[in-house]
Amino acid sequence: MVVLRFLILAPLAAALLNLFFGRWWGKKTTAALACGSVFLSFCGALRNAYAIQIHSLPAQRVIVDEIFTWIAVGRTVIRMDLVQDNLTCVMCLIITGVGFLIHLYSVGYMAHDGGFRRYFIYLNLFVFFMLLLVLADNLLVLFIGWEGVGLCSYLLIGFWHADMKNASAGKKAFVVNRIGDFGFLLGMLVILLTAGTLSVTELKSAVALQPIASGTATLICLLLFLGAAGKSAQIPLYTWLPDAMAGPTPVSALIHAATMVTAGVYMIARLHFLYALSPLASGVVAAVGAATAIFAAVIGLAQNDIKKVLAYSTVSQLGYMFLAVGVGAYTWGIFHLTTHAFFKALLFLGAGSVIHGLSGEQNLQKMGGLRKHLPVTFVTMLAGTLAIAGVPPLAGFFSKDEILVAARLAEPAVWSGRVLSGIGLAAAFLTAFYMGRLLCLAFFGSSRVEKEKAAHLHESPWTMTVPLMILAILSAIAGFGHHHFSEWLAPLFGHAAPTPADIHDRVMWASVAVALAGLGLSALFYIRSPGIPARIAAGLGGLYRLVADKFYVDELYDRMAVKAVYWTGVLSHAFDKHVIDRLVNWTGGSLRAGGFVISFLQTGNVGHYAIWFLAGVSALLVLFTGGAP
Amino acid sequence: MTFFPVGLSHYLCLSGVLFTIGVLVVILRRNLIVIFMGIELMLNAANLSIVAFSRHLEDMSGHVFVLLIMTVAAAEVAVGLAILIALFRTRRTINADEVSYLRW
Amino acid sequence: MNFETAVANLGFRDLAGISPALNLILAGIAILALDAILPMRSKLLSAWIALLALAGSLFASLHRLAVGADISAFNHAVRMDPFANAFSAIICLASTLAVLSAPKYLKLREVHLAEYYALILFSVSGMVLFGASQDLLMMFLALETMSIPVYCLVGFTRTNVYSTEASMKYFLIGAFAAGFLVYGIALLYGAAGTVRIEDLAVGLDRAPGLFYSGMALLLVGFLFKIGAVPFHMWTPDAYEGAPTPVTTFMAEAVKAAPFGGMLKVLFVGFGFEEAMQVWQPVLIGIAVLTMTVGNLIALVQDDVKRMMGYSSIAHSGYILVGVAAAAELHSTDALAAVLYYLFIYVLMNAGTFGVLILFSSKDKDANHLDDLVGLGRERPWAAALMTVFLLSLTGIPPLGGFFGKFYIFSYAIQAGMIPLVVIAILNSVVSAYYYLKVIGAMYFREPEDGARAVFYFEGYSVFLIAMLWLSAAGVVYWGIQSETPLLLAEQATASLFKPAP
Repeated sequence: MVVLRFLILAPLAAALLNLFFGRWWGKKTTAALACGSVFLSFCGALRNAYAIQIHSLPAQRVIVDEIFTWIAVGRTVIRMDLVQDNLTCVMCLIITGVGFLIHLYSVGYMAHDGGFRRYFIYLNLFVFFMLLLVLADNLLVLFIGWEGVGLCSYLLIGFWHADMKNASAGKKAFVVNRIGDFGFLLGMLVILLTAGTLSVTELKSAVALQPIASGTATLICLLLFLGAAGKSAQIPLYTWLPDAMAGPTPVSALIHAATMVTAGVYMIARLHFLYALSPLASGVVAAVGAATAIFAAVIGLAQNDIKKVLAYSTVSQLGYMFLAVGVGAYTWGIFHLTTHAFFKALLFLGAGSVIHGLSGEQNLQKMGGLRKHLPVTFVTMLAGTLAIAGVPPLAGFFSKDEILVAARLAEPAVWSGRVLSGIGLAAAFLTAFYMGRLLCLAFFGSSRVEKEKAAHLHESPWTMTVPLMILAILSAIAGFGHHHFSEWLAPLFGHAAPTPADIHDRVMWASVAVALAGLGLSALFYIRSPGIPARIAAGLGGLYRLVADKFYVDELYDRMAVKAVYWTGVLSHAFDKHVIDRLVNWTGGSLRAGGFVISFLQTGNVGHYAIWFLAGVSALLVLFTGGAP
Repeated sequence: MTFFPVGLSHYLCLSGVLFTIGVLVVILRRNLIVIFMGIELMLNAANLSIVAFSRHLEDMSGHVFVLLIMTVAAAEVAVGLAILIALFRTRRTINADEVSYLRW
Repeated sequence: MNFETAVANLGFRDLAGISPALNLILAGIAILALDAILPMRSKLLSAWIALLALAGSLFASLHRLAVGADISAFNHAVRMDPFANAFSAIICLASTLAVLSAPKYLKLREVHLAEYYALILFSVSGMVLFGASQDLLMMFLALETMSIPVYCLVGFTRTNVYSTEASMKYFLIGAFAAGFLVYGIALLYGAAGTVRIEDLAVGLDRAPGLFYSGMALLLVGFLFKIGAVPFHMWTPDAYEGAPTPVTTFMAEAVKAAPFGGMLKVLFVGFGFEEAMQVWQPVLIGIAVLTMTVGNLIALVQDDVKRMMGYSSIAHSGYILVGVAAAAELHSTDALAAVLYYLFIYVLMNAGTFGVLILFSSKDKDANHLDDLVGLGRERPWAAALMTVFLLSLTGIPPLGGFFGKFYIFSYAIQAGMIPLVVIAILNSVVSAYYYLKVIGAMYFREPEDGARAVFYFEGYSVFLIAMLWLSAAGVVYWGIQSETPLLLAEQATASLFKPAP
């Protein structure tokens, strides 16, 4: 059993070492340190998973590392404890495992970048915060990790900050996250006020003894969901994720696909006992998830930047995960999180390989026929596309299928199970379609690549292709473990009720059909008859523009919120400058003047000191003896 | 001719007067050596009162105390005079009023 | 117990009992002897001996504190209980940091003498015994043992006019205060018939007038040492005039040690209801005055050392708030908060002065605000360290200074002293100005003539760098992880009221 604090400290140590001493050792050492530390953490997580597995007693199936009491004021005690149970095991393995592969990939991808060292410092820091988030027992400590990953996300999105656009994207991500975090903080506050503790283990036992009132639980869950929506890019706080593609592609893979954006789902799964108390909140979660799934999928149809397609795809898939946890199928939500981590990371890394090979080209319309030049990338991306579309027997099929079944059978608030399942199915069709579109536009057909870029076209080095292959294999076979997966998480979430075979089969066939239809249609549109999409776009005219321009959501926010806030800011600034600043400066000035005056009492003459001394003594004597000697 | 008994209160009164004189010397006189003398006067006034109390309470520890205080006072004075000499060597004055570069 | 048995009972056991202090005294004597024998080679060796002795005492004290040892020595004149051990640990830590900062600077000023280390060791031994004293006589002796070497140390750079002036002023006011202290002891002795601290209470019944007067004068002696208003006027001069390593020593050890004795006297000697009702309100008033005067005058200072002198006055004010709260609550946990504050204070201050020493040169010190301009660009690490210390002094989380103030103010609020806490917090806000002014000078001001600022690095030494990094790490770590220091402090203060074994 590996003590938990070492799990999270390894990447932090690597980050600090690279920060202080990285100047003196070369890129090889920096990379080795960075990748090695994450690998060590991965081994530690594996070891812990094994340790949990072999113990049958419930008490030993949880590893606890009590570090210290951070804040103890009155009755509120906040401890820095780390807890590893089955759920956090899964998350840790994903973070460190996929994280390690992405670190490895980054060595090749960022090899010629001047900010190599800085990149790995940020990346390690991110892994540290993410692990802290996942392993924390106390919600406040989780929040530290939450904020920390937001910070690293900001740093990495705006990594090439010389270009204002990138810096703005980072800023946007941070600000939108902040709005969500506000909800999270309020939710934590309400939890603290009602239950008196922020520790998840204590909350669980407290709620088991005496459930929180439904209304309060709803409030808490909705507030926390606001935080999750910010972090995991759901409606209405998803707008930062597409912009976040300004960062290096491995960053998009790790942070904006596999780990950070899943923090919201994880948080809800961790606090499932709270969501169980509030059907309304769960229903809202499911509804928002479903709505986001289809909304983002629609936008993804018309995007031409390869990374933006994947970004909207991520938003959409996250919607699936929220749909799952919203209907109570926590196990399947986490399962989809896992499979999504595999194939989405794969897709992003593959896209990165394409971009790398094309010397920076990201526009799908300027690609084509790459399958001959980038064979490994093509095969692995094919695997990823099939997985995300939900074609059996790859992983995505199993996870998506189980979610749709669970949704169909559930009876949530807001929208009924049938509606949710239907929306999910429609989104699955769109997913298959736009992913197929991506694959076809990039790898099939005649080459539309610019001449200079075509000249340098090359497959990526082994440091980039090996992770792709590993992830492709995982995407292919992970689905077969879905029974083991639900068994593994059963101690936390209970066993799912057995599903009626006929509904299960119907949904399964429907999802397969939809996946194949989507892929087939995309092949038709983009390989066989390339002219069709253009004609449809022209025919739809304004509607197409609407979708391609992301439904003008950003512009709407800008008008509604940003401009309003801006003008409030201008007014406040005027008031601040002329009223408040005057007051504050006057106070400060008068204090300084007071200090100046008093300082003259300090004359430097010892006799005067003695006089003051005597005055003090006399005063004290009088005060103590009450006047009468 | 009878002498009235000299009791504790007389000693204390004397001690208080001496102490006050010592304090005034420290405050009012400008010559550093005289100020030292004033401090010594204060310490010895305290010694006097301790001895008086000790006699009154018939407790030996007061006398012991006074001896120790005198020792400490002597050490203090030695150090003080050394500091005075160092000061004189740099500033060529032992007037307390002139030694006030550090102020405000 | 009569005289014969008392003497017969003395033995090695007693010497072993006070071993943290004895260690230091012996090391001091060894240094002086060494210097007499090998005058040429002895300076650095003396520094090492001093460091080892201090480290040894530090570990001995910590060990004793951890195991909860409570050893009386010399017929209960001295009692090394957890309280004394805690203070001993804090003081030895403070002195270690101070000694680490000394060697290079003293070499630059050409006063690198072995006597420096001997004086420090003797002074620290006095401090250790001060916290452990059980009667007023011992306390006075320890106090003087502590103070007299410091008078010398302040004037150590004999050729510097400011140094000798500071030394003279400190000495005069110090001796003046000692006079009041002794008179206070005299009156208490007369009232109580004994000088043992725990037995002083009988004096209240026998001679209340004498008792209260004595209490007042005794308190004056302590308040002088910690720099409370209106007994504070020596502090800025002494801090500014002394050579900076000595200032470091004063700001930490000489600031922390008197609190040990003061707390013992206040809570053990005058810890009963009638006396507390007299001294507690006065202490509150003095705390308010001290904080305010210290902070206000610091606002207009340009010399960093003088400013830190006023800042230390202000911090004494915050500590007095904690003491008053502890009195109100009758709680030893509140006193533990005071101990924790002293511990963090030692670390913060060490670093601040350490950075100033770092940039001193043969000809001049880097004590003025203008001397630090541009440090952020030229020496980013040093500026960063300085920023950490200054922010901690201001009380910015998550550094130690914040938690120190937080705990003290929490207990004060618990005690219901809301207006006092408000004043204290307002004072903290005011103090932010002068601390941040230094940070501003380092990072945001440009040198006047447009050229890049030049920083002499002659004060560099491995000792100093080690001291700076240790202090910074301590401020950050023990701020977040305040559990362990607080636990130890609670053990320490709880023992204040337990009778001797």
